[in-house]
Amino acid sequence: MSSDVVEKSSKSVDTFDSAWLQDCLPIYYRKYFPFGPFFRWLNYGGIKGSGFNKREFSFTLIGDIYIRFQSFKDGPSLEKEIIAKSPIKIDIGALYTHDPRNRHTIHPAASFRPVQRELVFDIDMTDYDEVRYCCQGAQVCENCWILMDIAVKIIQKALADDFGYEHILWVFSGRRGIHAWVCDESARTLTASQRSAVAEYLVLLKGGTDVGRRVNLNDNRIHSSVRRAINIIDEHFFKYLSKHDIFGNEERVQKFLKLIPDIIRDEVEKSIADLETAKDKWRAFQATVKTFCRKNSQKSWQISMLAEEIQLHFCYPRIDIAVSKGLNHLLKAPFCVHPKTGKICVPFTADNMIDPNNVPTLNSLIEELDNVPASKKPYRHSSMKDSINVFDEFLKKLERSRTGRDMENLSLDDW
Amino acid sequence: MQFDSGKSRRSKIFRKNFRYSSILQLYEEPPTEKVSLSEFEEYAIDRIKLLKIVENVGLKHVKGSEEYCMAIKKEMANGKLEGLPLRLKDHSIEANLEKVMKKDHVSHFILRLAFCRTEDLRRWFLAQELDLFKLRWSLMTADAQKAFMLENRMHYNPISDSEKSEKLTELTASTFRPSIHKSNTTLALNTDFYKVPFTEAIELVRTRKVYIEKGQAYIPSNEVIVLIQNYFRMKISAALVLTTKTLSLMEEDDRLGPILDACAKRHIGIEYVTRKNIKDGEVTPEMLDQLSKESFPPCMQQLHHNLKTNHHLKHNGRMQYGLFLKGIGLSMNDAIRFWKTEFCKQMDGDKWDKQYLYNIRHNYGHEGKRANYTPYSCSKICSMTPGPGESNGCPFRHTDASVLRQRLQGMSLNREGIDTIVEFSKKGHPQLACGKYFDMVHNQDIGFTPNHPNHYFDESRNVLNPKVVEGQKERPVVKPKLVPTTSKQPLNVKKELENSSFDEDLMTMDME
Repeated sequence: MSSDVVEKSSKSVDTFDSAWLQDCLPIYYRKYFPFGPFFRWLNYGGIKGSGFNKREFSFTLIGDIYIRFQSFKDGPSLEKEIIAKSPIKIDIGALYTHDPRNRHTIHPAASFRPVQRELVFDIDMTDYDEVRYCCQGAQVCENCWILMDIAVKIIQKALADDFGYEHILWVFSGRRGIHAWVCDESARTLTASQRSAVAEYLVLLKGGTDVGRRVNLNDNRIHSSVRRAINIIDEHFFKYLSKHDIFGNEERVQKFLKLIPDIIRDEVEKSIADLETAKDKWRAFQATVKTFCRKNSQKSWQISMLAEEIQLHFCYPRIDIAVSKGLNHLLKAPFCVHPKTGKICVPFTADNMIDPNNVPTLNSLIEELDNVPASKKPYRHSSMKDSINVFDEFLKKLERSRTGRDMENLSLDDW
Repeated sequence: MQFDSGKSRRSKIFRKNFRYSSILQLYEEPPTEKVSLSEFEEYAIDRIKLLKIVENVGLKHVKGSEEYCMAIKKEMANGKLEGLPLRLKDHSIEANLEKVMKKDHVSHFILRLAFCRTEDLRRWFLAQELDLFKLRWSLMTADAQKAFMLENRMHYNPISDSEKSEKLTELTASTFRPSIHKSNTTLALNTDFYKVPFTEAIELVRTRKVYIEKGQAYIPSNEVIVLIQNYFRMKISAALVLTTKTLSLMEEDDRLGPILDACAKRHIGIEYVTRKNIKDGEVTPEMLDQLSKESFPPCMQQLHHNLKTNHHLKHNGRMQYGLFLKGIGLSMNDAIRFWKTEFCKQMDGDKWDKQYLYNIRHNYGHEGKRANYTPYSCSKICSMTPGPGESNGCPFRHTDASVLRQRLQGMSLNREGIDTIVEFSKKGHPQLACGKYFDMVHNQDIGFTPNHPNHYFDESRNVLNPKVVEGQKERPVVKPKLVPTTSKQPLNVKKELENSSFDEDLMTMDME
C-alpha cells in the first residue's frame, strides 16, 4: 500500500495452525472459558422470560464451517455444546420472537424476527490506516493503539453522559479491534432505526475513499458532544503526534496540506517549513490560523475551527456502524480465542485500556495450567483473572440494577 | 345521516367530527365504513396519483419551498384530484367534509394493503406519505396545528427556567448555528425547550441538532414538528409491518387481490430487473471502462474507479455496484469474471471463491432465499452512511463540498455549472445536483432528474445513442422532461391487467 509501513520484526502473527487449535481449544473451553459468568450475563438475571433460549448463537468450526441459529435452553446445555464442538469462533446474535432452532416451523415465516439485542459497536484499526504511520492493515502496536484509547474514551463518555447508558462492556476483539456491548435494558430494546440514530450521532467523519478533510464544522454548530470529544483528543494529541509524525517527510506534509483550505495553505506551509519537531510545527500551524482569523475577520468563519477539525480528522473514533445498526448482526462473543493470533478476547474498562500485545493467549494459558491448583477455577487463577474481575464487576452492577434480588446469593461461578 | 340509539355509536360520530377540524390525520383507526368496489378502485388510484405527484415534484423542487407547494397544487389540478385536498379551506369543501375525510382515510388504508409487501414498496409509500403529511402540516395555521396536537394528546411541557439556565451553555452550543448577527444565548433564553426521550426525536439526534443528556433530548420549540412527524412515521411504519401479516387473507379475496396487486405494480414502475428490453449479457466486463466514462452516474463511476484502483470494494460498495451492473445487463457469469479478475489482482482465487462468490451469486438470486434483488434506488443510496474506506453512497450527498468541487473541476465542467451542482448538494438536494450534472456532461438542458442510477444510465444511453434500446420504437431523442404519470393515461386498473405487455407500458409511461 504505502512506503510508510514499518516492518514489525518480532511479532509473527500467524503462529496458530488449525491442528494446534484443534488440540488446544477443547482444553481451553473445558478449563478456562467462564461459562458461569457468561451465562449469567446473557440470562440477564431473569429467572423467567429472560429469553435466553431464544438467543441466537452461531459457531465457526475448524475448516470454516459456519453454523447459524443455534440456541440453548440454559447454561449447562450451552456449555456442553461448546465443549463438544470446540468452535474457533462463537458469535452472539439477537433474541428472536421464537427459539431460533425452530425457525422453520414457524408460520407465517415473517413472524420470526429479532426483538432484542445489545447495542454494539465495532472499531477496527484498519479503518485508521490513513492516519497511522506505524502499522497498516491487520497489524497493531502500542503507537496506533493510542488512537483506539482515544476512541474508547470518547465513545464511553458519549454513551454514558449523552444517552445515559450504564452497563457498557468493552472487549478486545483478539487482533486489531475492540467491541462495545451496551447492555442496559433500554439499549437492548432499541429499534433498528433508533440504533442507527445513536450510531450516526457518534459518527463525525465523512466517509469515502478520496475525501480530504473528513470533518467540516463550518456550517455546523459545535455540538456539546463534539466539544467534549475535542477536549478528550486535546489531552492525547501530543502523545499521538510524538508517535505519528504527521509532518515526518515531504509526502506526509503534502498530505497534511491537502487538508488545509486554499486561502491559508501557503501561509501554513511557510510557517512549518523550518521547524524541527511535530509539536512545534503543530503549534506554528495553530498560531497561523489564529493570526489569519484576527487579520481577516470576514473570512475567519471559514477556518476558525480548522485546528480542531484536523484534530478530529486524525483522532475521532472510526466506528463500523453497519454492525451497530441492525438487530440481527452477529458479533464475536467475549472470551473467544482469536484463531489467527491465539489471543483471548478479554473484557476491559474504558479507564484502563487494554494492551493488545499483553493479553493472555491460548499458548500462555495452556502453559499456566500446570500451576493452577486442581480445586480452583483456572480462569480465576491465571493471567485471565484481571479480565474476569472486570467481567464480574460489570455483572454485579448489571444485576444490582435489576429488581430481582435472588441472584445475589448465588456464588459467582454457579449456574 | 342516520342516528342510531347506541351511545357508543354517537360518541364515535362526535369524536369523528371533532377530529375532522383539519385534513391531517394520524390514521390510527382503520375505516369501518362500507366502500363499493368501484370506489375502492377509484380511491386507490387517486391516492397513488397524489403520492406520485408528491414524489415527482419533490425531485424537482426544494421541499417545503413556495415553488414546491405551487407545483404540487398545479399538478393536482391537472390530475383532477380535488377529492384529496391538501387542506380543508380549498374551495367549498366543507359541504362534503365527510366525503373528503372518508376518501382520505380509506384510500390511505387501501394503499397500506397494497404497499406493505416488500421493503422497497414500504419505503416508497412511507416516504411519500410523510412528505404529504409535512406539506399538509405546513399549510395549517398555527392554531390548527395546536388544536391538532391537543386532539391527539401530544402534550409537551417546556423545561423550567432554572433547568434551562443550568444547561444554558450546552443548549446554546448544541441547538443553534453560530451567527455573527445575533446572540445565541439570548435566542436560547427566549426559546422553549421540551425534554423528551431521545428515541422520540431520532432524526434530530442522528444529525446532532439537539442537546441530549442522560437519554433525554432537549427539543427547541421550532423543531417540535419533528416529534410529530416521527410519531407519524413510527405509527405508519409499524402498521405496515403489521399489515403484512394479514396479507394472506387479502390475497385470497379475488375481488381485492388483483386491484391491490396492480396498485403496487404501478408505483415507480422502474423495477430494473423485471425490464424486458434489457437482455442479460448485453453488457460485458470489457465494456465497463468505456461505459463508466460515458454513461455511469457519478456514484457508480466512483465505485468503478475505486474498484479498479484498489482491487477491492467493501460490502456495501459491492452491493451497490454489483446490483447496478446487473441492472444494466451484466450476466451473472460475466459478473463473476469481472469481480474475480479485479479482486484477484490482490488475493488468490481460492480465497475469493470462498469469500465473495456467494455474494455475487446471491445478488443474482442463485443462493440463500433466491430472491431476485433489485438495484438500489437513489433514495436507498442516499440513506446510506458510508464509513471511512467505503466508496458507496451518493457523491452529491456524502462527499464534502470542497472535494466535490475539486472533482468536478477535474472533469473540466464550466464554473457556473459546478457552482449550481455544489449549491444543490450543499442544500441537501443530491438528485437535483445529479440531474444538473447529467445535463452538463450530455450537453443538454432537458431538466432530467434521476431517481435511480439505472434510470440515469438508460437515459444517458438514450441520449448518446438513441437507437440502441430495443422495444422502444418511436422514442424521441431528447425527452422533454419527466412528467408525472398522472397525465392523460387511462387509469383503469383492470384494463391494465388485461393488457399483456403491462410491464413495458407501465415503464414507458413512468419514464416519460
